[in-house]
Amino acid sequence: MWYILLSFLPDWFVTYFVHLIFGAGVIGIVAGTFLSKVPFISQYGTLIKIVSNILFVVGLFLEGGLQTELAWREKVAELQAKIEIAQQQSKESNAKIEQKVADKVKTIKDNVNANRQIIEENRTSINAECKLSDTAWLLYNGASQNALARGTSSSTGTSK
Amino acid sequence: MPWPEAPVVLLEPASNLKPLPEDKKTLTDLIENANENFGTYYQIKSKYEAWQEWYNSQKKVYESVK
Repeated sequence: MWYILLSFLPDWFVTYFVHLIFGAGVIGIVAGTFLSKVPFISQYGTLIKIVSNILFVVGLFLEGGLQTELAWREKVAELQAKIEIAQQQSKESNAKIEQKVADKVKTIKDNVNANRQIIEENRTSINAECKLSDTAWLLYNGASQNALARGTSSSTGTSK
Repeated sequence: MPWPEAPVVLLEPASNLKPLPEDKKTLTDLIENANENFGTYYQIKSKYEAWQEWYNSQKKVYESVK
């Protein structure tokens, strides 16, 4: 709970707050030591020393925690920066791949169309001496659909 | 680190090879059909290779973060 609340506070606020407690403790100890030797107000000096000692101990503890907290925050920030760079690289890589695939597919389609035109131009001469038999047709379709071509066409199942 | 997005073009389903229609039994019909099916094969092949490239590039990016 404490850690979650702390994570919402900005670095500068946490740092100043902890330094303030620690500094108040140190100053209070010095001031309390001095004041406890001054007549008439020495009783306040003792009180200040007690409060300052508590502040000093709490401040010292928080100083240690602060360094750990800041080190972790630095690591998190470092990792987040790395992740952002990685995401950017990933996007760039995807764009390159998409472009590459689009170029390849275009070339393939162009070639298919060019071949189709050549077939069309030579249609008469190609068909002059050849017609596919039903068996050849069945075998061809069986092969292209990755199915057994034996028997009728209704018995050929595809491997979708 | 969030799961990397794949290029949209690679997520499209692969098309099937087309059979030769029953009323088309000339040699040119066969060659035309083969021409189209070979084209489909090469398109799928290029996408398959792109998947490999995508995997390798994403692996490299992921390892650079560790």
